[in-house]
Amino acid sequence: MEDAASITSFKVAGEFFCFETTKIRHILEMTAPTPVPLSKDYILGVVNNHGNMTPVVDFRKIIGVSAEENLPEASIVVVAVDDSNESLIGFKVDEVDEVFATDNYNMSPEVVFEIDKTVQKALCGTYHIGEKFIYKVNLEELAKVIEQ
Amino acid sequence: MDRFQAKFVEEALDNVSSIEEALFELEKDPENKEIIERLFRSMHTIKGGGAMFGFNDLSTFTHNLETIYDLIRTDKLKVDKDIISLTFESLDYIKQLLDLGELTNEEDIARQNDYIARIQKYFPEDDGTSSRPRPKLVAATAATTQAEQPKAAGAKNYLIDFTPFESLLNNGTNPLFILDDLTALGKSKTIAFCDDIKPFAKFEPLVIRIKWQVILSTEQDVNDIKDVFIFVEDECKVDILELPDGDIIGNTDKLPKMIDDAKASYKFLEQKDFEVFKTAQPAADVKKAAKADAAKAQPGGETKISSMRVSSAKIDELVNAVSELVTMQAQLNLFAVKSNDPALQALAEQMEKITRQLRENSFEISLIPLQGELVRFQRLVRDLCNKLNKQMEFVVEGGDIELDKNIIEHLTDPLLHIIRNSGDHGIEMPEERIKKGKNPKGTILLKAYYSGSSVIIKISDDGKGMDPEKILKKAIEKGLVDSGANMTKNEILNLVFASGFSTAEKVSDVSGRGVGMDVVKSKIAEIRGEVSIDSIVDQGTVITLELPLTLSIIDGLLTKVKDEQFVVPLSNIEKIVSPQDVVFNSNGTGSLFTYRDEQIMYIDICDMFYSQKSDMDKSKILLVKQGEKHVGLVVNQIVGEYQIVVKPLGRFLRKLDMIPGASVMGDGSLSLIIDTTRLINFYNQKRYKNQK
Repeated sequence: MEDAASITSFKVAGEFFCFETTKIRHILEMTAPTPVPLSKDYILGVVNNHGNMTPVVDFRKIIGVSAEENLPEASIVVVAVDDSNESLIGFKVDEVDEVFATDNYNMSPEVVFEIDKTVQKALCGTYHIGEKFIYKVNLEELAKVIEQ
Repeated sequence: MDRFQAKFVEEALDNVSSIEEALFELEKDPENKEIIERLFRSMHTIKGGGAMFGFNDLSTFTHNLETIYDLIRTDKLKVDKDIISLTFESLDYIKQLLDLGELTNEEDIARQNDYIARIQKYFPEDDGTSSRPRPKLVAATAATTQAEQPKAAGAKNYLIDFTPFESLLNNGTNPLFILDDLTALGKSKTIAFCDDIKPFAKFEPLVIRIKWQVILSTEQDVNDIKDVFIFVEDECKVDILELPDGDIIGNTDKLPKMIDDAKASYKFLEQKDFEVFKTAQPAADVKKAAKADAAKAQPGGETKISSMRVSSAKIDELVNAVSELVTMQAQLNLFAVKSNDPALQALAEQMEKITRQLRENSFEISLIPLQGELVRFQRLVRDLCNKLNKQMEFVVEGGDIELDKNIIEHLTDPLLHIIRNSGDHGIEMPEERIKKGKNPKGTILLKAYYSGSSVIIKISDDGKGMDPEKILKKAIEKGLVDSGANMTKNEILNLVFASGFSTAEKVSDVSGRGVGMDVVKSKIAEIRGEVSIDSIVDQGTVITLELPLTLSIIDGLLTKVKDEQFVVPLSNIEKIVSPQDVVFNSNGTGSLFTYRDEQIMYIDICDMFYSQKSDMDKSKILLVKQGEKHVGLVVNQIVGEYQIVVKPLGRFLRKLDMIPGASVMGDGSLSLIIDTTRLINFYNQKRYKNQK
């Protein structure tokens, strides 16, 4: 059982990011989403996620890194932002990394990783776990950016 | 207990609306005993339930109201308009009480007493009911009261077999209270049969395994005994048998032994066992009647449940699961056909039949009749009459049509608005109507019917109608249209749906705050419906709502744009034409073609979505209707007609409203659904911006 104080980290363009584990609903194998015309360029399209049409965001593109096709470990991490089926959204990440219980680690509020200003707000802190610096993603903030 | 209270409130609200419904009938037919009986019963249910679930103030109040109808049903009082109005008001108050629960502050209590005083004005002076609830209520709710000793002469003896079903406890009933109520009716002896109780290790706290027999000596009527069981009719078996007259309960020589024997042998006492007490002829008629009634209520001891309450979330889940099953089934079919295995194909075919049936059934379950929502409009019109001093009648045709519950939920507000508008602005004052040679009583007609795969709801009134010139003038004043605009009557009338437009000359309490019809339009658009309006000055206004039967399943045309699949709802498409059949207008910059003498604007969807012009020779044009005009949509290929399950795309793609959903096709691929109206609006806006 994962409790609230647990994070799931993933790797994108050589950097580590994480979501709260409780937000994660599924981790899907990478399948080609059905593209949605006239949507934002970082929205790859929608996938059928157990009967729910779930939009998929390319995490590389939203943080302003160029897209990469050839990623053998790429997965779609499906999260429910506010716990409703309506708020399901998938993120294509390079690789899903690990689950950490965060009881023993403190999150520092600084984030040294610099990206596009609107998205920057969605990175709310950094965990230093072993050798890794893991940037915590505030899903509510990120959702606001995508929804605009 | 909270769960039970919530359930009681839900059921009480149902009862309130059935009372409202009955009141409207009663207003038309004040002598109808059957309606009065129904009213009485519903009130009685609220009263009893209220007492049982801790709504004591509600119970007391309803008791008083019920008393009026008791007087009416016993011909001591006549139904009149005031009583009906008072009842309506009381129902509003009951709704408040259901919300408030127990009254705690003095203001509320004083208000309750006011209400009760108003009701009690109708009670006859000498009835002894003027200030306090009748003793009967005390007997029914406060079980602690010991009833007075029955006089031997008037008292009758009954043997009551009370066998609860195992599920009795599930709805919060305490059988001991029932026994208390029963024994409060007179002198009694109660025998409990506990033989079925399991040893403590196997104890089931939610299952009742005790049954009782009560020997009761009472002056009350058999019906009063039955009333005790009124709330548990469906959860137990009750037999009421008449016993010989005389002082059976006081008997000390035979009765104790009989009871001991019955307990020892775990057998109910029977009517014939009491023949030893016989001193006079039993009243055979009563016995028969009681037996017949008991049999009627409990045919063969089994309960028949004709409908049940299921939470709507459960139904949503069911419908969701079934729609997934449908898509899986389609995939299975494809697989079976490819496999060339006849056994598998036969199985797939069987599965398909069942799946289709399942889909239809679950779809039907999620439909609810419109009727349930209409009572409140009836009420609204009645209240409007009083408030505005107008005479109006609300007539419903086709209230029994069924709609998706999600649609009905979205429909209430717009309908309320439309009907309020009709009553406030449409129907004239009686004097004015007489001057115009109309019936002083105006009519608001709500008519609902199926039309293909849609439901049409028309709300028409025979009021003063709308003057296109006035509307145009107003729209120009408000800057909604240019002063030189050349518009058809229909276009002008539809301006009332524009945001910030209200034709009411004065802002009234009832309607006319400048928001209104535009909200109606957007609300209806949310459920993929259309609104239109037509009006003739001094004859009236008709507002037509066209709604889909369901939000989840549509007939669609599967097309391809570039290589992607898109579904266009079939109901939007008027015609499919080949580019060879039309004449493209080569001059000018707009995209136009001429088809059968009509100039039609067209949109190349491929160009719009992917900035890539279609090869017209290989494409097809879908003609869709947009308002009064046609618009052509160019798609690159037409695949065929499918019945599809619409799945919304969630909140992150909501801004892209021209693609409201997607559907899983038989082969597992997804296709996006196009909302043509929104697509065309989007295109027009973009073009307008580009022109600027």
